[in-house]
Amino acid sequence: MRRVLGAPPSREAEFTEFVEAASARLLRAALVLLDTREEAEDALQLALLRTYRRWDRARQAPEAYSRTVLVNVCRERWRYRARHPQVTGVPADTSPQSVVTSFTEAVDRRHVLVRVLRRLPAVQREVLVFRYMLDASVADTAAALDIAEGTVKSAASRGLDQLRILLSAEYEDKKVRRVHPR
Amino acid sequence: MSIHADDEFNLRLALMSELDDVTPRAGLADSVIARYRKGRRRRFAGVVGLFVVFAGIGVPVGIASTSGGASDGTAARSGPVALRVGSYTLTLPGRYHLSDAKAAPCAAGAGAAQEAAAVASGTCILMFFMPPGVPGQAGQDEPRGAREVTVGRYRAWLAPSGYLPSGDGPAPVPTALVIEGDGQDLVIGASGLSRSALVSLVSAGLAAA
Repeated sequence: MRRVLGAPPSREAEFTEFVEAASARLLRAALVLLDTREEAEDALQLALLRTYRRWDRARQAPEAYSRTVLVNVCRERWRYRARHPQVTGVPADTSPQSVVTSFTEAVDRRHVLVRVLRRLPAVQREVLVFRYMLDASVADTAAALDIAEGTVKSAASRGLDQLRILLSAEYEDKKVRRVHPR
Repeated sequence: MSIHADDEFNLRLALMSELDDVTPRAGLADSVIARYRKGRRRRFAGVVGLFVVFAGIGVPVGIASTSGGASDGTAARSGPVALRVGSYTLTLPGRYHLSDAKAAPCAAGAGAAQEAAAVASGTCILMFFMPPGVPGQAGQDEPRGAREVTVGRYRAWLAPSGYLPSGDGPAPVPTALVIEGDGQDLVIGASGLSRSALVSLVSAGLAAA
């Protein structure tokens, strides 16, 4: 393994071990928080880079540190998109009826649950991702998202309710399309 | 897909199974570390570049501010400047800096063995011992038109304009003060200074060991 200039030899090894263990989980979380696989991969790489820069601090609890960084990166992207709609473009219509333009998009659309999760309000989406994808506790979620623990619980409850409704609608829509194919 | 998130467990399972095929590309850690190194090199280069820019601006400005605007490129010292010839020391204000006596703007070409010069903006002071053995000049009677003055504890005379410190074709000294010594006379010439200013300067700063 190559050695980082000026860093102890274990730093790189520790980080690599952490990335191998946690990157899949973090990428899936980013995929739910952002719109496309490409965006999710970019965000993950940036979050890991920021984690590595502060590895001396992050090594105590690297997963908690990196998921907090990841959600901040995702929030930066949302804000950037809101400020520069002409650069980023309007997010593509990902409803099942719209025309699929690429293979990547087709694969992306296969993730029905992800697509429905993306339709939730930001706070509910973040809380569900932290609680049920990243297995963070209520306290950890509250600390990472900088909200109260009560807000975490209520957002999780409302998010699940909303998800249930959206998935039911999705299911009904599929049934209708199966009976009356276009 | 008919997933009903009836409870948290179901949601976890559903997400896990649905996103099972989403995996990061191989070598992610290596690419992150490589990106970190690249950024570090860039930051280092930026810091060095900034240092070079500031040094490039700051050093000439610093030199210009300490040299008092001297145009001959001689480095200046801060604080008073001591002009020494033999046992005499003339202490000048800090705006002066020592200069080559032969190349100084007020060089008289007197050919003295011991001479020293100091320059400041528009002013030049030259100090040397009167060359011996010139009849009617060094160690002899006062030249015609000279005015006797007392400079501190020294007896001196102010030379008339166009005074030639020696006879062999030297350039005239615009303003000259001759201090009478035991064996040889000390000439303090100046350009860019009035006679009274020269007398004040020498009165305040001349000392003999």
